[in-house]
Amino acid sequence: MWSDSILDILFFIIIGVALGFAAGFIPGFSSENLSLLLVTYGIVSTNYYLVVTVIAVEISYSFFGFLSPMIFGIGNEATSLTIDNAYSDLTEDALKRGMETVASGGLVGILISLPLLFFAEDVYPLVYNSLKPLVGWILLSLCVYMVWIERDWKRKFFAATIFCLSGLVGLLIKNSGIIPSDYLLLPIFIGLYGFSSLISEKHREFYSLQDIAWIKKARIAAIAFIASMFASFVTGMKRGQTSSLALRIGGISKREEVLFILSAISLAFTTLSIFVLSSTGKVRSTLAYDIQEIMGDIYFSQTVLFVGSVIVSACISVCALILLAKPLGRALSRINGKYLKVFGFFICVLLIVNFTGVYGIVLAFTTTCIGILSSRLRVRSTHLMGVLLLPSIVAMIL
Amino acid sequence: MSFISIKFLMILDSIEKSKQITLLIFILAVIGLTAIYFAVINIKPMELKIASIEDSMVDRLVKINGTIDYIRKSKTNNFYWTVSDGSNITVPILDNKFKKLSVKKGDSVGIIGLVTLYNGELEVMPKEIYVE
Repeated sequence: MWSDSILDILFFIIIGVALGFAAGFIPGFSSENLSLLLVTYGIVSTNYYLVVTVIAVEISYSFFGFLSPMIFGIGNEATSLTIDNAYSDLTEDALKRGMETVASGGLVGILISLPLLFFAEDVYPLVYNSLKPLVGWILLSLCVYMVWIERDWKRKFFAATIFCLSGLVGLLIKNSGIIPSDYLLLPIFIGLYGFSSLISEKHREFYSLQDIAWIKKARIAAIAFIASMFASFVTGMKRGQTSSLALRIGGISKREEVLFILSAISLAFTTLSIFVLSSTGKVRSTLAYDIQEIMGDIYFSQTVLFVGSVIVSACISVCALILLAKPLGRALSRINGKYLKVFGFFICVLLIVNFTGVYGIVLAFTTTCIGILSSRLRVRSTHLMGVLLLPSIVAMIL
Repeated sequence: MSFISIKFLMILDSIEKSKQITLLIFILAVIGLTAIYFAVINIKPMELKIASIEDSMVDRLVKINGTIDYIRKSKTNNFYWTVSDGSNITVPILDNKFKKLSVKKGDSVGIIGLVTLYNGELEVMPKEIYVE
């Protein structure tokens, strides 16, 4: 009986990893869209198995989600904020090395977050409640800092404009009732990071990736750990902003190190969000939101099962990533990226129309314009997160 | 109006093409924002009796009137009102601007908010509160 359940769980993890892998190939599409479909249509009937599948989708996409930005230059909330240029003219070897870097970074991300599982129940409620009155001010300071570090006054002005425009969208739409709250982020993120990068012309260069020395890996892991911990305490901080801050404060600029820390933070943040949900009931990531939607409140024993699913999903994804690196590189050289982009575009339009109707299209159109604007004005796409941050800051401070 | 249009076209003509496209995208973003604004302000809440609120109304904007039967304060400093007009519904007060309202048990209130489902229970998440 017990072994049957384990086999079932393993089966759904493999299904989830395969879906996450497929999503990684579709430019403009993300694991959030896929999870939304799974949760909405309840394709997996048992709640536990549905959660396990969603976890596997999110975790595998955290690895495979780097394929689209590396190959096509089209990223998502976590990757597009910091990977500005696609690796065009990507050779098989360069892709293999890139994927290995992502794999090792992701594994490090999970490893550094695991020990916290045993302290989460005590530490998170305490720190969360102590920080709560300050969170609005912390977020405001971080937003001002991100604008401030743009290189000249013109860029600072553009960055502030992009932040305010996207923030205005968030303020207008929050609790407006024009779009069901479960699907509210769908047109916003597809517009900001999907359509806008599908449409924008990116400057493309080829970068060779070097090996990272162990001592440097340890330093980056420590930075990723501190950044993810910090982000898990601060409502409104997402993986992209956390990575941008970590890169800036840690002085990390080499391509291979950027990939390593992005992957580490992405996986650590996702894993920690499960701990935060279990210990405080607060939602800190899309995965945590899906888990809460499906299960309601979760207990420590369930958290352990979910963390187990995270580890197994990560191991399967890493094996697939390393094994498939070479054949993928070969196959990709034959695929016409334009067709994939058009395919991604139509899938996203269908999702928006289906879940959010005409208002969703208007919202996606507006956020696409703001996304393209940020790309044309050459400011960090971190400022686009004003869509979530400004409403949070207003609600917390006022 | 036509003078403004001509003036605008003259300004546009003096700007190089790449900047024109950027300006055009900015204008489109502002038009989109304006459309969203009008969509949001034109949504009228349905005035309902609490008993008639059901699961299918989740995410709809509604208006309810009633008296505060009970006020609960959570550990995280949020308030939960039980509002009654014969039937009861929970109104979570999470927003700081509503926390500052001085209300007590027995006060009559009008609430415009979104119907939400939390842990299997229907709630009205307030957007506007009128204390009568």
